Amino acid sequence: MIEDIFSFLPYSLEKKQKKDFLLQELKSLTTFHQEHCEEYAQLLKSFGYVNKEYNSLEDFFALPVRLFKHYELKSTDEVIKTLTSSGTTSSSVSKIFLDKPTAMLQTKALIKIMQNFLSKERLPMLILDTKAILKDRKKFSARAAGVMGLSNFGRKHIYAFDENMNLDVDAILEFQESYKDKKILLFGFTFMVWKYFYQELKKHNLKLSLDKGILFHSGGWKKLQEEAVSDQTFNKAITQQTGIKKIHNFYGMVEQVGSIFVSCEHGYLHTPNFAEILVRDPLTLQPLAFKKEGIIELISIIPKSYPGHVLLSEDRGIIVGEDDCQCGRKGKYFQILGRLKEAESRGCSDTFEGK
Amino acid sequence: MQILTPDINTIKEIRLPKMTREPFGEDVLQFIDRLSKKLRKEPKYREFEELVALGFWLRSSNILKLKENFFNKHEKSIVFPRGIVFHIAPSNVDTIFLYSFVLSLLVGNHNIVRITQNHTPQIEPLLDLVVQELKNYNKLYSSTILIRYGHEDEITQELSKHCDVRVIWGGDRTINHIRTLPIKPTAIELTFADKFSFLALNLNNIKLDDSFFEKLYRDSFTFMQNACSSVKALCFIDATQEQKSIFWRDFKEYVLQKAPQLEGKNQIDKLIALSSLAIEKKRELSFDTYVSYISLGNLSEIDEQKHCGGGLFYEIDIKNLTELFMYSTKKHQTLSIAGISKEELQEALKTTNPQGFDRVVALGKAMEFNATWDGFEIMSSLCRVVDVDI
Repeated sequence: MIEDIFSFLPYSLEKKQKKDFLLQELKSLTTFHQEHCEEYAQLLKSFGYVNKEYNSLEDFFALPVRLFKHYELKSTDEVIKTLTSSGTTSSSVSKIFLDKPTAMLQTKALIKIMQNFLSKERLPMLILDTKAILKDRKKFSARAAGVMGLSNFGRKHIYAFDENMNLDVDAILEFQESYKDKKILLFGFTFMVWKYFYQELKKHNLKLSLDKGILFHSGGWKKLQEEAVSDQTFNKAITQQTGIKKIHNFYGMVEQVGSIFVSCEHGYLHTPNFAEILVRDPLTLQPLAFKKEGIIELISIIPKSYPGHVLLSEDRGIIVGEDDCQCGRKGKYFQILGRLKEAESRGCSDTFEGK
Repeated sequence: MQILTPDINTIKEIRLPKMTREPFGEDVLQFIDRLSKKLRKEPKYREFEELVALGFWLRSSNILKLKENFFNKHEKSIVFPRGIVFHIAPSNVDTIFLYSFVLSLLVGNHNIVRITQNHTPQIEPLLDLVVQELKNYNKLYSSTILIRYGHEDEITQELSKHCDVRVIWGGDRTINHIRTLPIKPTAIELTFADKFSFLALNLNNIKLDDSFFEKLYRDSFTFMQNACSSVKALCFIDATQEQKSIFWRDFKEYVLQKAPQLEGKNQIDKLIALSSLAIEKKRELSFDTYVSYISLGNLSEIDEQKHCGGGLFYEIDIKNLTELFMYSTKKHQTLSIAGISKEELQEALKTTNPQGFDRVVALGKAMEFNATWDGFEIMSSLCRVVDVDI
């Protein structure tokens, strides 16, 4: 059944079809994880989800994402790959265990989605990062994994920064010259694209003409928000400095494979056939209507090796609509508005907290 | 860094008199009385419960009681202020610095008070008031260093060199960190570590009315259950399942009406805490908007670390207070009690030698500050006693 979903275009299912499909899949995944992951079964028991009737996607137990930092949750003994979160802001990292079938589904999901935004042929690729991240085995992190993952969609890879994260101007200009007027692919992490690519180009007064370039960027809006750079500012500035017009943002998290949300030409993130988004009230955790701001819950039918099919994130967002985005893609489309505010710890326990 | 009093710009300029003042001096009593009156009467302070509570605590009848107790206690000994006291108060209970400062001022010490840089609606008017009132008393003004700074070790280190007593109002990490910065060999330190607090209750002797729930609400939801004395664990003596169900149902309803200001992250923190406890203790729980609880099998399943505040309760059945006292550790601070007689309490205290609990109070009083705190008689601890044998 899951396999079938990949024979369609990734943004093709309409509301009713999608709901029926996801509901069936989630029910069987929930039963599967209940039988194969002891901790998950205990959670369902303690939170009163045993013998629960699931009539809608909102009825499932949403596992708080942070739990993956504290427990090694898995539903398989045949782990072939362990993903870890970058863990830049916290000392502990999430550990996500994949077996072969789940890893394959994850790859398929990514291919399906990327092909929707790119052509099927591999494009010359400029990676907005340093090659050094691949060398350092200890730091083979989410960052390296992200670069590796996206590299599959390109060819003739060139890295834009040297080991010290300085702009490799010669390499970039040579790349531009070689693929003049050709479609090219660029990828980098949002903050680095901004700081080490855009700002450096600007500092060197260097304008590029990558008019047919397609830029994908992901992760780490937090730092940019601190610098008060909005989505629109980002896109506009990049276009001005580099000529790139097609700019797509990714939203997703290592804790949920298959949930790859890419922003369309109109700036909205889209849910593919095999994933879904719900928004919940931050206080009551009840599901909210479209256009209401709340906590993002993520649903994906890909995680079978670990109980990550329904997750409660700590991100705020709104669902803008469903099936009717001007870009033509079906499914819900949404926006991320940032992280939940740190609960103001009003107690006597942290004189020097934050140190 | 900002020095609020006196008129100096850098910590290098700090000069404090060698001579201390006499305990309960007239100018200090006046200063405190003026603070108290303003805090209780002026609308700009009255809107903050914490400031009103502070004003109430500073009222002259209470201060005179402190004076009487102090002199009674030291009637037969000779005591002097220790000298210079450096107070390091937490960044999120805005009023602690003042309680600490006032107790030290009363016994005659000079003070250096570190104040957080967090700007909150209640701390700003309070600071303005303190500075303005201090200006009326030249000697107090020039010998009180109110300094506002963040986490700069260099400043803490420099100020630590001056003091004869360093008072650190937690938490554990802060205490451990600040202890790496030396004080004079002759100086001493008072530390208030992270603590965890309980309510023991016997439902057979309690009427579950609004007055009862108001007290419970105050003792748990003030400071969003993050204070050391906030009730976090409920120990039921001799209660049936049905009695407990009714109790929780009614408490939930009461808090729902009160609708305390919880934030989004708080709910997630509670979910994480409850999920972790569910996985580790395999117990039943109830997750709700305001009041969530997990039924633990026995006292040893209590996990102080995992408790995140914001309306999370541990429910435990105990046979009697003795059981609780036998279990208690140094991490346990306040025991609130309800539906339990004084005799029962005294009997349990007499027959056990509890490791923990620095306070036992009637339900509703957990949040009241007292000059005896965490096992210290704070004023006496800020004095030295001269032994005379001639």
